[in-house]
Amino acid sequence: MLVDDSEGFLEAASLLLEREGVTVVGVALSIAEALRGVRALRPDAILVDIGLGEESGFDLARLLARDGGSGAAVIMISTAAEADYGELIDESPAVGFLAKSTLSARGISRILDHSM
Amino acid sequence: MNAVGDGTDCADSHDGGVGRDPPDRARLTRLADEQAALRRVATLVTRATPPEEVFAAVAEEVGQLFHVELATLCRYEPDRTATPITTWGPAGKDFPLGIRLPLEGRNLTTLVFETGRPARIDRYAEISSGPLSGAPRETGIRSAVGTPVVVEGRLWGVIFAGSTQEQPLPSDTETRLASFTELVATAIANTESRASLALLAEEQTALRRVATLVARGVPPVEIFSAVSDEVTRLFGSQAGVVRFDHEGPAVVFVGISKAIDLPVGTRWDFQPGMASAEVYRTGRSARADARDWSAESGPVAGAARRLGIVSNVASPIVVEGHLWGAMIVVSTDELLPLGLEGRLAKFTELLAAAIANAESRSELAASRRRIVAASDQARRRIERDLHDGTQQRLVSLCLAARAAEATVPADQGDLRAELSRIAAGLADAVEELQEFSRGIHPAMISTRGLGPALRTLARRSPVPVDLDVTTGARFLEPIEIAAYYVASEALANAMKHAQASRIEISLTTRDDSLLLSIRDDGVGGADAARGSGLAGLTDRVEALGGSIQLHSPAGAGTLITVDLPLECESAQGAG
Repeated sequence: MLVDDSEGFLEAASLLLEREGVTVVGVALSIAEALRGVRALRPDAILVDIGLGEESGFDLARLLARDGGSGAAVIMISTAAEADYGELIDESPAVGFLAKSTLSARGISRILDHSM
Repeated sequence: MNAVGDGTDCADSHDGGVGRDPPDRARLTRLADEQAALRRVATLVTRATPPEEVFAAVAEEVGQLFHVELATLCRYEPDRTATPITTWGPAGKDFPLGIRLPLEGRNLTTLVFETGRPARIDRYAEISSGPLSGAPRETGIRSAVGTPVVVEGRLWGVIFAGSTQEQPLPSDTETRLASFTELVATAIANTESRASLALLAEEQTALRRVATLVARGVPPVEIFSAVSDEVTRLFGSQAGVVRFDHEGPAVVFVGISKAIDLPVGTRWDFQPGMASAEVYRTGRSARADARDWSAESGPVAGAARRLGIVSNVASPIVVEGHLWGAMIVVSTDELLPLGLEGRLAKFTELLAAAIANAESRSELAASRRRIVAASDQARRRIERDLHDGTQQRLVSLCLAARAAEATVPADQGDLRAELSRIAAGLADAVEELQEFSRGIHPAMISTRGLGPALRTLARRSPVPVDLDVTTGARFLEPIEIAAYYVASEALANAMKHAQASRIEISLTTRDDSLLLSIRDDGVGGADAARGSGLAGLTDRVEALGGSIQLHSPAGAGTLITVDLPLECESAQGAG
């Protein structure tokens, strides 16, 4: 599942990942949508943009991790580089980080394999 | 009428003293003596002898020339009194010199004061009265003449010649005395003009000292006390600067000469006897004397009595057209000289300039802060637009190119490679744009604060950075942004120009300041004036009331320190 406040990105990313063999079960534009989506769709992994407009992707990550977690692995994504967030990513419940422009099925699998 | 004005119609002068007129030969001798005496006095006057000595010489010459037992010089005071200042003669030994005596009763000093003309009393013992007649009467004076001393058109004093002889003084005594009073007047006029010249010189020096302070932009509060001290020194009285408090109305002391034991900030409601109250009412200079408040109670009259103040003068301080306050001068011994108001005007003009400067400086500082804030806002908007718009679109295009690449059949390797290059180019563009927008506005400051932003900066630096942040607090955004920009610029310089191998950044708070320092072990020799990028940041830091220092000796690394006040000063006190 993909969470980002940019519809253009959701569209492009879904298309790419689908073509690379990843099933995108749903997309969300906000924390509320994402929480509803996760409950309904039970994704294996959820890619969360750090800057969700006025909201913070880290907040969503923390909400998803609450009460034993949703079962979905959270991967933070951003147009910015990982170095810009550093310890914030380390301190969050997220299992990894991907820069948006390098998003790929292989990148996701690598993080998921690593976190297992 | 027993005492008269000019001696020509003396009812009691025993036939006008004609009987004592000497024969021709004696008359010639007397004339020669008189000329000699006048010459001696004139010599003293032209030699700029101190007036006291001239006065004493005149009294003596008059005494001997006129064969009188008492010759006295009295000065008129502004409060209808007269002070005997010198006396000569066997009868003058116990004369009360230096004491003000009221001009009342029948005596020559009072008569001359009232008529402005010579006067004579021939039956002095019988008909004189009043405090000023006491001493001559006690010494047995029987006939006496007084002639006015007129200095530049103003009645200054009187010369008194008194005889204990039975015979009245000759009828031409008044006329002959007049030659001496003219010399005395010349001596006084000379001295006064020399003194006023000296005062003018001192005044110019004092004004120059104050003007220098004003030009240096010294805080008004220092100028207030400097002016108070200068005026005190200059006019031999005490001085202070007051600001008008319109909610009262009242005055608040903002500067005061050292000798007055009154703290700066003391507030006095207007009361009778305060010249400053009159200035507030009329906008013009004013003066008030002891009699105006002697019957009053309250702190003002109390302080005036405690300090022994007998007179006070206030001159308005007008700052850019509005009445701001007043300069006040108080005197504890003599009444303040007339014309003091005019002389104060030069000081109040300087005070007004200092206040106006301080006001425009704080306005300027506020306007600099507004400019920086406005530019920050614009930069933030551009950064946001780039991030939300162009950057997202480029990212999406990059992913779309890669999605397209994924659909290209394996046998069309060229097309695949082409799409891959496009995707890579777009990814590079995203990165460049990101670098670019970080330079426009460090968005991380708003979201995460200065400490984390500095950590990110350190992490991204190719040269190893030791970061020592001892504060986790958030500060006003302009302060955080300024500190971040300086750190970022310093890091860039250390890398690009200094060939540093190690950089230390420390961030801490002390008192009410945020202190940032960046030290590198590079080649040093950096010059803030030579377009190091720090010059522009100096403006930003100073607009926040802060300061930035560059220490970069050649070969010994570079240290940049920034001191930013956490409380953004709104207006540095013009009172």
